[in-house]
Amino acid sequence: MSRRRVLIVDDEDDIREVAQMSLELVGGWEATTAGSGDECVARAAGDAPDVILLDVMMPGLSGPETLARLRDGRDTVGIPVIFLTAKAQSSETRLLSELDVAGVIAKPFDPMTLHEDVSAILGWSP
Amino acid sequence: MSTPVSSAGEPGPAREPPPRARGDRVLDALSTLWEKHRAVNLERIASLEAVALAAVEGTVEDGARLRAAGDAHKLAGSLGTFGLAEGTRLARRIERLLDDGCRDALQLSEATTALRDLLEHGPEQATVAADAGEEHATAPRILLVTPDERLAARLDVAAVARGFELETRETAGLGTVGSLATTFAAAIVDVDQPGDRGLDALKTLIARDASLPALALARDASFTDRLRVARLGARGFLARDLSADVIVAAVADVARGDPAAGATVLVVDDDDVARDLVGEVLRGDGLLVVEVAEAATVWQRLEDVRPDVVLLDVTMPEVDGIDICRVIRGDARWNSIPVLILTAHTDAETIRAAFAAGADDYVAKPVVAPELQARVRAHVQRSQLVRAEAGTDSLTGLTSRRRAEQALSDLMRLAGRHGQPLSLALVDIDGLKRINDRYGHAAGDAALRRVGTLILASLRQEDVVARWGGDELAIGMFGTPSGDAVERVAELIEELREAEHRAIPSEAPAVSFSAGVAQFPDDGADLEALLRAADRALYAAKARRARVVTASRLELADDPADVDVVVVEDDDAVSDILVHALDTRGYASRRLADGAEAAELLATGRLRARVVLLDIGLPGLDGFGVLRRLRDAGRLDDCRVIVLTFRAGEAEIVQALELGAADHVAKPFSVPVLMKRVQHALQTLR
Repeated sequence: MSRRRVLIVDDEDDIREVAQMSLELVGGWEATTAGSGDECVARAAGDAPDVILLDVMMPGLSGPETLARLRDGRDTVGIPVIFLTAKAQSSETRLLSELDVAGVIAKPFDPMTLHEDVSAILGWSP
Repeated sequence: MSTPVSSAGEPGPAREPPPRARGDRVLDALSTLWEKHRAVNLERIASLEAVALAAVEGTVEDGARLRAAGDAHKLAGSLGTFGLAEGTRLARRIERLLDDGCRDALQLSEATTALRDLLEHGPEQATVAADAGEEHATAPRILLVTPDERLAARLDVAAVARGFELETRETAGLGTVGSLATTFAAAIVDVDQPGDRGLDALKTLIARDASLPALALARDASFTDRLRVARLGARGFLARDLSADVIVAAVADVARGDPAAGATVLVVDDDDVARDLVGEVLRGDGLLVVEVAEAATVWQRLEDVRPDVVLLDVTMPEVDGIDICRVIRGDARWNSIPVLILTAHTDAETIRAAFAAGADDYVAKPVVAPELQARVRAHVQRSQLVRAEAGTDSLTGLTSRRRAEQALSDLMRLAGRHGQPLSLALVDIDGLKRINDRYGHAAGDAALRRVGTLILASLRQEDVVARWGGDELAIGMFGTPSGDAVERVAELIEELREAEHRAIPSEAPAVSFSAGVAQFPDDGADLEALLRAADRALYAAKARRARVVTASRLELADDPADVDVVVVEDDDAVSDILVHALDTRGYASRRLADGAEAAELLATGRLRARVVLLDIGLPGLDGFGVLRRLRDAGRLDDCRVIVLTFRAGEAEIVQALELGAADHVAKPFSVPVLMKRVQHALQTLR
């Protein structure tokens, strides 16, 4: 099986880099990053990653807006998306999970187990 | 469509721990990334600090506040990933405070400072990543099991104010609750239910998940009940009539998991080396340690520090540890505090003597660090559970200051949110030092207790009544503007005066108190400012004839021609009572006995008053005559006249009101009722 390919989208440099480091080092996956919703839409069409980890609160295109663009794109409509959110209220997390996403991962995430959380949501064998 | 929601907080199904070497590489990488991005995080903290400062000064702009909330949100989302779970917790709290409009500037500034401290120490203190797993992604939830909807509503408000989510279930619904300890931080079970239903619910809960800390709530806290509840495995017992906030605070303590964190230990040992060593070992375990070298200063330190546990060395010159222990046990204030004896002699006789003196435990010297830590922790936990049950001051039975500060901050937040006033009264016992010096501390303590009991008995459920310091008490009155608060406190002062007259045997000195009242947010927008205002008012009350003064009326015009109230009454006994009551409340007053003189002074404006208490049967000119003069002189627009009539004098009343009196009170009148009318009249003028 070829290596899992993940696109991480977050406007914060540190979060992007930690997630990338964690998924590559702990999960052994191939991780690329995007710093905004626009960049995500552009990259996703070309790269066709196995999953997109998408921050919810970003300047410019927000997570849900980016999601809508992805679903409108012919090449990106089928890519599973997982939201990353620092929202503390469970009600907000619930609302996000009602959107067309595979799941929601709460921030702060644990870099030791991030790949397992992603695998669990997508039903991938570890 | 519903999709799976995962958080780092939920333990997944049996994960294999990552191989050690790979884990280390991740830790190294994390620490490199942390250093790389540290500047950004410090900038975010600086933005929070700037807003916190502006909030304290009351000059926050919405734009800056919202940007800061965004920064706090980002910090909350990232710090835990770097192993700073506490950082995430603090940042979330800051975000909430900012979203709340910075009303609680004090808490905001405290949380910001704590966050800065945490970041400057960096993640080397934290166990990287592992801690993030313990972080709850949502507000921690408390499970409440009760069929009582009013109880649930009461606790819900207090829980939200403390950043919890409360989920209420009736006993019958308990079977449907999912995995408990992962869903809830703690549980409260109402055991006051028909039959043993409440206790059964507690039993079921603990049987399902013993790791979920559960507290029992009951009306009757009899020893048998406590024992039954404790045997079932509950972590504590709370009296149902405690304020909702005290209940939630106790649950929060238990939910926090580490009851020993931040507890204070008093270490008494004349041997510098041994004392330092013990101090070091206990500090290493997260406890606060206060060291005492001289036995003679133990009492003062106990008073100042109010420790959770006392450690006493046996062999000291002058007084030995066992003697000190005996005296501690003989003092009502300290007889429930855990005392541990440090001794190099573990012979049967020494140990017997220690226990006979009331010690709870002993620790052999030379001390073994883990043993000392474990023993002290066990006693801290017991001591704190005892306190958590009520959060009370041991002498007066009132709420302790620490608990009250929290309760007041929360009430202020609620008051802010609901646009309600909140008044704070600082109460100072008059001449307590003199009582202590002259009659001994037991008499002083008894006096303090009498005041505490009286206040407690007279106030409402939602009031906070606390022992604030040596001779100071504090009363927080939710929903009460300062004018009403002054009235309530004055009534307490009068009630106490009467009770002391009635009941005090000759050898005990009568006690009285003074008070300063301040209103939130008008006199102070945070607890510190409110306390300062109340303290200034208290000082003014002490300096004047007044016994209670409000912060908004500190600058009392010292002009005898311009007063709050004029009493026109020829009966000295009656006007004595009235003037005394007015003095007590801090009103400037003047008394006149002659109707003609009163009419002349008031009608010509040589004497100005906002309220006139007017008797009808007067020498010179009767009350109706006075009223007529005032009306004809056009004085009734800015002056309210309350006529003192006799019972059943209906014709009198009608005539007085027709002449322009604002109100009437029938003799013999009740002082509090008349003073409420005065207060009302003054308010309608302002």
